[in-house]
Formats: sequence, C-alpha cells, structure tokens
Amino acid sequence: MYHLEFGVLVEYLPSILDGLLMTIKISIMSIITGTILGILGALCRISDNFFLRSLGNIYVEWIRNTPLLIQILFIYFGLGVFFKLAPIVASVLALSFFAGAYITEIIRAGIRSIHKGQREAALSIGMTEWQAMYLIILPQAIKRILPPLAGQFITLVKDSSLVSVIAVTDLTYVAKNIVTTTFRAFEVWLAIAVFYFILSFGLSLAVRNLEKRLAESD
Amino acid sequence: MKTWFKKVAALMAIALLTLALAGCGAAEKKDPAKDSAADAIKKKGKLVVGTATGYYPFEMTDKAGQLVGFDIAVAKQLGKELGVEIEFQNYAFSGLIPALQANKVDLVIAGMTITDKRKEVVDFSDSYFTSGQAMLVSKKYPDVKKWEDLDKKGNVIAVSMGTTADQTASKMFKNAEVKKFEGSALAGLELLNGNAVAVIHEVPWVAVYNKMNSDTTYAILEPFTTEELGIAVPKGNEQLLAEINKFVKKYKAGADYKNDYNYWFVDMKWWDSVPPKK
Repeated sequence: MYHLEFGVLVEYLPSILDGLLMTIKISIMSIITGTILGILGALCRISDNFFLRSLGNIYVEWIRNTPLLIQILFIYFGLGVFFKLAPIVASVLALSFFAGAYITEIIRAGIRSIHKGQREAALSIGMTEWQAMYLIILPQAIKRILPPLAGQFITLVKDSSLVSVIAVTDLTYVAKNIVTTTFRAFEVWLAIAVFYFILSFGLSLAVRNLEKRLAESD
Repeated sequence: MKTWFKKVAALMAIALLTLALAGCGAAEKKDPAKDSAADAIKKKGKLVVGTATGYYPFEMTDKAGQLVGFDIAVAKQLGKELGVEIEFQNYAFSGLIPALQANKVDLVIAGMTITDKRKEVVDFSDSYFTSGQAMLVSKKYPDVKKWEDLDKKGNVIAVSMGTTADQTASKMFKNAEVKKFEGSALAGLELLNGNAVAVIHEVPWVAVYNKMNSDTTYAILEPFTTEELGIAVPKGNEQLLAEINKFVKKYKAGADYKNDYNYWFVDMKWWDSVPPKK
C-alpha cells in the first residue's frame, strides 16, 4: 500500500526551485521571440504581397497542424544531425515558432476586427496607410488582442513542460528525476502541478489587471 | 496590484492546505485480499507485464512490429510455467515503477536491476541475469579507457533516466554533466548527434549499440559495477513472488535459459529481424 510522505518535497526543494527558474526563463524567452514572430507573421498574413501572404499561411498551417512534441524532437534530434543546438536554444526555438503561429492568428484577427470604415476615414483625412495602422487601428485592436494573447502565453508556460524530453532541466525534468529516485509519484506530481498552477494563474491575474487599466482609458 | 497579490497568496494557502489534508489521509491500510492475488491472476488467466522497449537486446520491436528480446522470452516462459497468457504493456523505463505502484501492471520484466531504493517500493524476484555498467564512447574522443577519463568539465554523459546507469553516473561524475533522457534510445541519439561524449548503460546494450554504430562509437565493455536483474512485482504479493521465484530457479537451471541466453546475447541471430538503426 502507498503511504503518502510529503517530506521528499522539502528535501528536494532546492532542485525544484532550480527547475522552476528554468521554466520561467524558457517561458519568458519564448514569449518574447514568439510575440515578435507573431507580429511578423501577422504582417505577412495581411500583406498585399502574394509571396509574403503565402509565406505567412504556410508557416501558420504547418505549425498548427503538427504536434509540438514532434516539433521539439525534430528541432533538437532532427536538425541536431546537421547543427549543434544547445537544448535550451532548441526549446526556445520550438516553443517560439509554435506560439508564434497562434499569435499570428490572434493579431491578424484583432486587426481585421476593426471596422474598415476606420481605416477609410483615416485615409480620407490625409493619413498614410502606416499612420492609419499605428494611430487608429492598432490602439483599438490591442485591447481585443490582449485577452487571447494572455491565453496563449499561459498555454506556452504549460507547453514548456514538453522540453524535458530533450533533457532541459525544467520543472518537469526535475520532477521526473525526483520521482525516479524517490518513487513518490503522487506527492511530487501534485506539487509540480501546484507550481504550474501558480505560474499560470499569476500570469492570468496580471493580464486581467492590465486589461482593466486599458479599459479605463476608453 | 495589491488585490492581485492577495489573491495569489490566498491561492497558495489553499494549495498548501490541500497538501496538508492529503497528508492526513495517509493512514496505514492493510490489504485484506493480498494472499489471493496469485489465485486471482490464475483465474483471470492473464498476466500484464510492463516493459520498456528500445533496451537492446532485452526488449525490442522487430520488423513485424512484434515485441522480441531476452526479457520477452523470459516472460513467455513464465506464462507457460504458470499456465497463463502474457499481455505486454510498454512504458518509458521511468514510468515502470509508478505503473507497478498504481497496479497498472502485474509485474515488470525490463532489465531492471535489484536495488535497495527500489526494494522500498516494489518487491523483486531472485536474480535472473547478472549485468553491469559499461561505456559507449564517441570516436571523437578516442583516448578513453576508464570512466575517470570521461569526468572532465564540459563533457556530456547521456543516460536513460531512472536506470541504475543514471544513479551510478549521477553519483560518480563530479565534473562532467549527466544528461537524462526518456529511454536509452534517445540517450544513444544524443551521442550519435555529437552532443555527448559517452553513454553509460548496461553491458549488453552497449555491445549491441556499438555493433549498430561501429563507425562512430567504440565500447568499453569491462563493467565497472555488478548488478543483478530481477522481476519486479507490487509490494505485498508474496504468493505471486513465490511462484515467480520457483520459476526463476527452475528456468535458470534448465536448457531453455541457455538457449535463450545464447540466442539473445551470444549468437545474436535476431540481428536481421530487428530493424537496423541506419
């Protein structure tokens, strides 16, 4: 019979915290590069240039229709045949490309959701296309983009657990390692779930706070 | 900002409380039906055996997609002896003991070394195979003769997570970095891709993997530890364990053991029926 014993958590707390830091580090780096990729992707997707538009479409469809785990394994072990990629670099690349595709769609949808009369009105008073985008459309679109964007960031934090398969010492890797040496599967996985919950929920509260402040400016 | 902080604090408190409550519920429970476990299995007519493929030549998948290997042969002999059907379930090696603890499998035959730490949570049969840790080294590092030669800053040693190789390497190597993968196959890939200097694993695996990749790797087969492999069962299954021990004794003394041993470790006649790595 299995006896619960939460003492192992205290014993392994330093390595759990190391893993937590690694998860935070990878998540932040991937959120930044993923957002940049997403902005570039969205600009491609709404571009008038056929080549750029197709490039954006291929990127989004290719990433959205293949599993993240396969993308991680492909980048690290597959591309690893040709290039030497550090596990952390491969992880951030995979997570950024993955999140970037969804962020592309979120930003594109946000921009498209602003009525085209806004753009026409801006042009009619003598603004250029770029002025209309930066001064009129984007400020309105950002408020619509923010909630789904936050959802995507939270998904990314949770998805980052997959990088443990390429031996990145994140929260999940540390947990697997503790379970294989102590066999306290229930206690360790429960505690790790709590850590992920705190990370994700904290992030979602922070974004909710930001949304509220943006709403005040309406 | 403040309310935000309070909310998180409240949540953490709830989480801690849940943990504490879960701890309270851990009062000891004795299993009343444990003696009938073996009878129940016989009645069911089936034993569910957990294993972890990719551990050459103990458990592998052949070209037809069938599980083959020394452990698979042992499991089938055990089934014959007990008069029950054997059903295999494949796990990552690190998931095998949790599977036993959660009673997802009746027993585990996966080249598993008998260790004191594992004995705290599962029971082991008597040894059915004697093994030890060996080294598979990349040819880019040609001067390795003993494990101490590998223990340098910047060297990466790849192992399969949760194995005795993992435990041994994590303890031995003070300067080199030990990287842990799900299964020996991914650890081997790390070496082939040039990211690791060596893989530490048990002798038969190192021999086979070296044979598969003789142009890029070399093996140091002289083991630096001796290990006994056992069949693992969930704790408190004395009757099933007794039956298994009876089988191990009989099997090791008989001709079948010699045949199986020679087939899987000496002649390696299975070589052509299992997909080559390249």
